[in-house]
Amino acid sequence: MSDPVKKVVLLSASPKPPQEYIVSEFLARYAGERLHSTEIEAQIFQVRQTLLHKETQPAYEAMFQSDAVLLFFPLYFFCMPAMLTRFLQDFAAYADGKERCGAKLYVFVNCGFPEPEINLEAVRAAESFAKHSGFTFRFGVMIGGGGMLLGAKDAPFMKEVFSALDRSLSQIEHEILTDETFPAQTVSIPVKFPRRLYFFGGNLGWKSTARKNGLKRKDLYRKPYLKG
Amino acid sequence: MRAYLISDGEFATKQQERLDRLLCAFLKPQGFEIERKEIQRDELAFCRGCFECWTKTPGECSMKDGIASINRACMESDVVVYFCPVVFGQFSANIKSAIDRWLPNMLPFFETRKDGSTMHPPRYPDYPRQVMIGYAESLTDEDARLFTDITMKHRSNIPVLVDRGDDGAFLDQLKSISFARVGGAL
Repeated sequence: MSDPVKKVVLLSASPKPPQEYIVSEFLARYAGERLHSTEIEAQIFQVRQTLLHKETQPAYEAMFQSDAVLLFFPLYFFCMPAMLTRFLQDFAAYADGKERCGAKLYVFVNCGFPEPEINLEAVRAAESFAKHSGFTFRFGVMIGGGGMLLGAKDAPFMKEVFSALDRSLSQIEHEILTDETFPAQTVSIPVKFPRRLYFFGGNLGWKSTARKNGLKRKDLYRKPYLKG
Repeated sequence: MRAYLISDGEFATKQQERLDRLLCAFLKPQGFEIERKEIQRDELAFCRGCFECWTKTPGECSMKDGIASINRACMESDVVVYFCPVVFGQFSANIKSAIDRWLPNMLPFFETRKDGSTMHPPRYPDYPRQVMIGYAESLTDEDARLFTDITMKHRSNIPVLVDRGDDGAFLDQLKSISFARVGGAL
């Protein structure tokens, strides 16, 4: 008799060291809390920790034996961060020659720019990884204005963001439990906040952090590698 | 004039050797001196998104590994060519490490480009001409298109070439590029 409990692996793939505000980690935990039930066993792995401590094997085995993998990462230069690429590149080597694992793959990409659509190429890269590594790619969730997601998570204008996230997670839960799949469609989640104010707040933040680090405003413009 | 060629030690294949040879045969007669950097596994730390290169040591990464000499060599060159193994339609981990850690060369602020998209402004008045050359043993059309889109859809002034094994086509693509420093946004 097969195990009725579905296994889900959540990969939290921010390269940031453990600290309070990591959007991808927050999203992975948020998803874990919503998906975990008597029918779904959800396990989180921090990609950074597995690579740092050279302990990728347990994560790879769990991915291989799972029914679904949910991947959470920030956009770095319009695709995956190098750290996640390393993790997936090594997974592909691990899976090479093994039977196709077939687990469903979902990705959640967040970026610091307001427009979520710039995450599209990162979602496509995850789809390519799925094809090359034996996963069944389902869909991506693209989140813009990631810088606000935690700081303003309780603000009224964030309600729509979390409602959209919940809808995607409900769909994922349904697909995992029933093996029924809907037409895959990448979801775009913008933060409904004035662009000018977002820029103003962001730019103020850089200056304020620099000031706390003992720098003057003009120091931000240093050119250490100026070609003579 | 100097050209700085960055490659991935994990993918130092015959194909990459061939592309290097073709490129150098193209650049040297134009008076370029060639400098090479082959990045090995674990040689560069992964960018950890701390933004200290913007708010603590502006223009320089605070992690003291080989990135400072790579970024200095890049900024002091006229041309920087990345030989990019295409992995899942994007850059390999070693090449992406160098790209992620290019961040100090930009300013932190947000600005809107002419097409309405967001970008960080340039830190310097001009930059080396950067060129991405994608290659892989067996490359699907879909991955080749994605590799091109990652740069061409989002960054200006950075041409992308994808090798499909045809020397003539590769040289034609090289001829279409202006190998000189570029100003303005990236």
